[in-house]
Amino acid sequence: MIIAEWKPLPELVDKLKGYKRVLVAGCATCVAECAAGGEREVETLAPLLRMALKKEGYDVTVNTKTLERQCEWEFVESLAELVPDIDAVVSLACGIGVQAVAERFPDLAVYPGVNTTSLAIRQEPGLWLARCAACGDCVLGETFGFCPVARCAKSLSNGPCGGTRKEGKCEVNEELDCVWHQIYERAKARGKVDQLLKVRKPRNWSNSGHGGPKRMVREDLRS
Amino acid sequence: MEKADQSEYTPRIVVLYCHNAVSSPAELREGSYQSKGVDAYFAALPCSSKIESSYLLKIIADGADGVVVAACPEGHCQFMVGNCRAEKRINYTRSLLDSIGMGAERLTIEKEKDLTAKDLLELALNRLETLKILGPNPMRGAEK
Repeated sequence: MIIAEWKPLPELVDKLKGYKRVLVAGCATCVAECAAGGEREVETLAPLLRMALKKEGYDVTVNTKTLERQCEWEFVESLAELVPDIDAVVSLACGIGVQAVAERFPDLAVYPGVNTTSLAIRQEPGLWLARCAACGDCVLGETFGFCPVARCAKSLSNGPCGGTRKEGKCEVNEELDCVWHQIYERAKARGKVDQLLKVRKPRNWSNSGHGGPKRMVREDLRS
Repeated sequence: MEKADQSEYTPRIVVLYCHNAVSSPAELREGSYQSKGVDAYFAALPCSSKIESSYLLKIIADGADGVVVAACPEGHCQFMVGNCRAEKRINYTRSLLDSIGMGAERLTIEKEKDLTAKDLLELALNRLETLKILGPNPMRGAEK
């Protein structure tokens, strides 16, 4: 899922000074799963904003709405009936949702309430770990299901580096597992360590964000 | 914000109690309780873990000066860890209140059992000094 974290509240409050009617818009998909922008977080942020702004001397009405998904036009459209009565939107969706709302309602001030940080999995309650870097050149088939781009501090294609600690931890942070150690252990368990001896060529980064904004087309699905 | 006359300030305190933490839940009346220097409101919860940050913040945003959550002591929760979950949520909510300058001390948790109405009122009274230092909730009169 896409992971996001709340922006620092003072930063958000500063942006909203002067607006009379604010809508906090949530998204019930990824950001709800990572406890940043679902209905629960929307209903938590709304009274906080009311209090923080009132404390600064600004009276503001804060309404709430949580969309099924903010990255789908059909769901974004449901905000249309609310827009005439609001001056600004705080979107707790990922950056995609924020941009969708801003694109659909270009005259409206739209502020991100979260920082979108990564593509991750919920490892255990309250802990999310990055698993994918959306690099556009997936190598998981060669690395026994571990992503070295997202999970190696150096994104090495041919690891491990010389800094792996004895316990299989990363030199950057002793709490991080060295993903190349994990790759090796899984390869060994499958009796396929020899596959790791092959030198992997430099990655095709042209398909990542370095090549400009990505654009995917499926002609068979287009209208 | 105008500084209120502290001598006339009667804090409004909402006491949310786990119904397993009180001695006679069927006899304990929910609602307003007045006592010297405090305006309290009691509301029952099926378990203290039923609270959410959003509920607590709405209570304060609607003008309450303080909130006390009365939970069962550790090891006495009928749902095993409900009181521990409640405490974690309260600590998180306190950090949010602190981050906007409202004062984390407006919200507390007390873990006791066999509580009576008098005990709950006492928990509210115990907050008076702290709440008077914080001053009236700036949201008073701005309820929406």
